[in-house]
Amino acid sequence: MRKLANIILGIIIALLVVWELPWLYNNYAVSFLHGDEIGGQPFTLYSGLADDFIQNTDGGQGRRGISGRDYTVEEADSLLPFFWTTQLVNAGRLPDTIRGYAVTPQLIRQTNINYHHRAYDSHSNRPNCGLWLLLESLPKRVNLEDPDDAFRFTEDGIEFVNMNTGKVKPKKSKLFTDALVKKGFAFPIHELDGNPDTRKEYDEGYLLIDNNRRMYHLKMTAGQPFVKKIDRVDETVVPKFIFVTEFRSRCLRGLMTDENNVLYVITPDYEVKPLGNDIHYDPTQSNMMIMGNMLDWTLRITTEEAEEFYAVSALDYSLLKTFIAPYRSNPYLPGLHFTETLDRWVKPRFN
Amino acid sequence: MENVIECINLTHYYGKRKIYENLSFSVPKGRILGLLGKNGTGKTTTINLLSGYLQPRSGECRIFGQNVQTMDPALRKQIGLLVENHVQYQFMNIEQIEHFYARFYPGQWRKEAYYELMKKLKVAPGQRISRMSNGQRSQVALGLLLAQNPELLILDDFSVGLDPGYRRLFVEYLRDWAHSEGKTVFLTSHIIQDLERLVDDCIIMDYGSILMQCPLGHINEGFHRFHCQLPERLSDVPEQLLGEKQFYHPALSLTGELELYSFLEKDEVERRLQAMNLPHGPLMMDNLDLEDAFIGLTGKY
Amino acid sequence: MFYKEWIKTRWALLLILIVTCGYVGYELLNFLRAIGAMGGAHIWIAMIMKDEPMFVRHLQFIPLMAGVALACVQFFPEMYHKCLKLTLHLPCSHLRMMFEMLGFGLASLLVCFGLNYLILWLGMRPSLAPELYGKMLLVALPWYLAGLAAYLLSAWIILEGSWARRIFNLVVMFLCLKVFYLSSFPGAYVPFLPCLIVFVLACILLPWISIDRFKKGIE
Repeated sequence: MRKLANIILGIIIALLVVWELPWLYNNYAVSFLHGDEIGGQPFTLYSGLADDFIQNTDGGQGRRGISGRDYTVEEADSLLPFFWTTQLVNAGRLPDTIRGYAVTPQLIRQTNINYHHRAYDSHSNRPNCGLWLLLESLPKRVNLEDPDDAFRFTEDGIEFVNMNTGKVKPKKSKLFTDALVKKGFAFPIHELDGNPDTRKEYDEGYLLIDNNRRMYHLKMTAGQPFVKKIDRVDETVVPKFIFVTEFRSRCLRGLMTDENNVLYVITPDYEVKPLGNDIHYDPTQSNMMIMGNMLDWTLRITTEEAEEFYAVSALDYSLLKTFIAPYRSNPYLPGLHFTETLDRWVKPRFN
Repeated sequence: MENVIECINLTHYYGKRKIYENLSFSVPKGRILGLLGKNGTGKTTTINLLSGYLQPRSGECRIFGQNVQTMDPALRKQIGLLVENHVQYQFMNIEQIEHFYARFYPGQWRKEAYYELMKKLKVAPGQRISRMSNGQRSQVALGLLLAQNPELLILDDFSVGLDPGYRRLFVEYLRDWAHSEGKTVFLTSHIIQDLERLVDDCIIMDYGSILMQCPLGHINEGFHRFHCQLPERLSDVPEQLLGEKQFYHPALSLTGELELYSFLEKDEVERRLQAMNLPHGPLMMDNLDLEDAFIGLTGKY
Repeated sequence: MFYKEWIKTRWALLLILIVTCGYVGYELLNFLRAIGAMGGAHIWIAMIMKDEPMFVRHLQFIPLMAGVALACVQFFPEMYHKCLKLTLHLPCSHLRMMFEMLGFGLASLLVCFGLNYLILWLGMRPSLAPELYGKMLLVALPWYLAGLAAYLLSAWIILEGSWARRIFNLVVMFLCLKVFYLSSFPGAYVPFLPCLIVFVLACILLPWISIDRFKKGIE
């Protein structure tokens, strides 16, 4: 028994060592020893006017294109008029038209988009309680309001629960279940995304993927279910993850990735189109940020190996430019970790 | 005679400090054996080795024929242990502690013996041991041992904290109990007078070894102090005296008197002194009690 | 053995029970007050939208402290003047005695923690969906497991005789317990819970190392 106890202690100490020592090294020594190698790419934005990705340099004091060209800050402001709009307005330098399109500060603000998805927000990367909120998308007053019920998906339906009494609302549950079933929705649900935050301009409810990997749009308008089936781009494209965007400009319904992690957009009229030319994004392993305007978007996808920048056209979603910046080196010591930046789980992993 | 305790070639060190090397002794059944030694000679170490709370660097202790480190737990029923300072569970009162121990010694537990002693304590049955005086605590610990009624008692400094009357009572009780029931007792004490009344045999320890193991009578009857006046004042004890193995701790007093201890007969001491050509006055011989004999054997320092 | 442990720890156990249940009651009271003041729907929404240990947050270190406190009450008296010698001299297998002592402590903590959970469950059940109170009960689970681990690791430290080794053990205990507090994201520990339970069970053997060293007289 003494031997067994000592073996257990030995294992515990060994695990603590492979956990704590690399952690200490990675957190304190790496920035001293490899400080210049570990920084990611600076703020980078595609300029349609220069057809170049423009990066901040010198801690934001300078600007440089990935083409190698250096810009003055003022030049860069003018080349990124959709981003530095306030700056240009103040300097009286905002043009009336950009690439032939008439612009106003209001229009720019209205059509700019900003979206990010972090890997740890993917449902498989975090615990979910399984209760969701569905807002009324046509509220009586101007602002969106909190609902008085929450819903859960069951094996064969959707169930609304009154949050004040804790009791299931059988009528509403049946109404919504029937509406989904009528459109061919196959329970149980495979994946869903929605953003039941009332501090936004409008509500698109939820985008759903059913058990047969078909996509649906569900929202509540005037208390009634609105369900729309979204056709696949073609039968070979099997949706895996789906994202509600709710951009102020309403230029998209959402985004979608398929089994091969290819990224698609869902247009306002429910068309599914590939974004760029075969941009791959695994929402469970990478973070994605989209900053865009009425003409082009910059996608920044941070994977384990590289930071990828894609410029795509906001008009036809075609790929305009690509910039892949692999990490220079990996100075981090492998070791035991319990938490990761990519997910919310606490579990042992060695990397 | 059957040996209850056997220690064979014990060697122990605390760090680099040697306590003893190749120490061997045994305690026969039915004997009361006292372990005497000056501070630091390893009395408590020996008790700890015997009770299994210290692993010797080499050698082994056997009780009832079994190695104390690997002994069958049931055998501990027959070993009563009084640990240093008479420690007992402080959080119990005298009833609870009796109740607790009784369950471990079915068939041999003598509840009356315990309560007999406790009656003399004049403490309330509900009083916790932590609130008792040292002497009272010691009596609880001893009472529990007597209730356990084991075949072998190991007592570490049993007289600590006991007042003279109770000490005497306990010594007499213990002696009668051991002799009438053939129990074996192994004990240490700081108060050598107690041992004199109690023990059959003694082991006298010196630093690193056993000076002697013998029946008490052997010391009482055969060990004497000799003293005589030397004609000339000497500053140091003569070399030839120090070299005589049969003379223990020869020393000069301030008045120039020579004092030594020996198991030899008076005539033999006289003869050896003359053989050393050491002129001296008339040789006197004193009988010794155990404490004096202990000092004579081990020296004052 | 249980009798001795009971006599030794009964008042402390009562105190631990009162304090832990008191904290749970306090959290529950806050919860019920919030429901009363803002309405159930508001609380539901907050709980669905926020990934925080709402209404159990203050319980985080309570089980841990309960575990350490019980270990202190149970094992410091054993080490006082080396009382453990008395225990180990009892005519029972040492291993069995250790398991009985630790078993008593673990069982007491489990009763106490179980009662905490029962109060939380009974208090939250009428006003929350199972998903929501489940979320709160789950977030507290690693903390309660930490309480059990802290108890066993503290016993390991207290029963150790050498100060240098005690400090080493203390560092090991600190790091081990850190694992239970890496995230307060509700449910984050779910895939890891079986491992943590195995760890707690494995810790039952650690005090044996200290007892074994005690028997060898290592100080």
